[in-house]
Amino acid sequence: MFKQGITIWYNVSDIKVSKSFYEEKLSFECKMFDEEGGMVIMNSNTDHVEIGFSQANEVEPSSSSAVFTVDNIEETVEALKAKGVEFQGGIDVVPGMVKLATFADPDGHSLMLAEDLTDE
Amino acid sequence: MNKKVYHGLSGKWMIKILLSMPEKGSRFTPLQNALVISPSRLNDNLMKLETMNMIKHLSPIERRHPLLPEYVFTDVGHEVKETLTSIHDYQALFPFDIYEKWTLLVLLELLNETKFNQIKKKLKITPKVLSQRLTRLMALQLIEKHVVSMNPMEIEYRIKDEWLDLCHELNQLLE
Repeated sequence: MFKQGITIWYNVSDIKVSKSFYEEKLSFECKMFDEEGGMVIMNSNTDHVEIGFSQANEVEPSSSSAVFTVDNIEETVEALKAKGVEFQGGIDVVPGMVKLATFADPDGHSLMLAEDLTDE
Repeated sequence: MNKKVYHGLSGKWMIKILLSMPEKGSRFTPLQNALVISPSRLNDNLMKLETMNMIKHLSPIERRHPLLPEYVFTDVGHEVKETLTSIHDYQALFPFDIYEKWTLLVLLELLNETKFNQIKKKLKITPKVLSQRLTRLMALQLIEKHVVSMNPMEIEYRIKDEWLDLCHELNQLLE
């Protein structure tokens, strides 16, 4: 029934600003850029998982987060901070499960990093 | 759609916006790019169209997906668009912008009235604008001025024969 693939879609106020954020801060690659139609699709850190955004007149920041898995959350946070990414609060730890850090895209859509602790 | 609604919509942008919007509606950015219009001007005109109950602006939650339209037609808007699409076919046949305020309505009123004051009263138009439009229509060879009597001076404006059929057709669409 389903095939491989998830696209997370956002309304954004400026597709060029959002594209720049994902490319320069998160180092994700652009898969499709339709300037006329105001739409972009970015590859993510995971095959078959893409992030799409389309330019809209009204944008409400989403509190549902796309959560990106990382090897070492402390190092990743420092690397992203060095690129100008602002994090909300510190690193949250759920013992035995996960470490989490929260940031946002230029429109305030919530994004997170996660380091899996379940193997420890 | 009647002439009152047509008059309310005529001008530079509102009719163009309605004609450019696909039947299923549109997002703001593709519409802006298609019309080559500034965002603020498009926004102002979209708000006017919403006030006139031609379109509805959907909130992000109502839209359900960022790729779906931000603006959709109301039932009234759908009907108006249908009429405007028919009217638009006549644009190529007339030597003036049929969406310019007053010009078409003055021309079509000459199917009913011929005297300046009658037209002015019927359309509730200022004398200055009426005079400008009549002068323009005469310059474009669509209408003629006839002096019916000298004392007192009585003038009638009439559509030239070769334009009558087209004017009647357009008039029917707007009634």
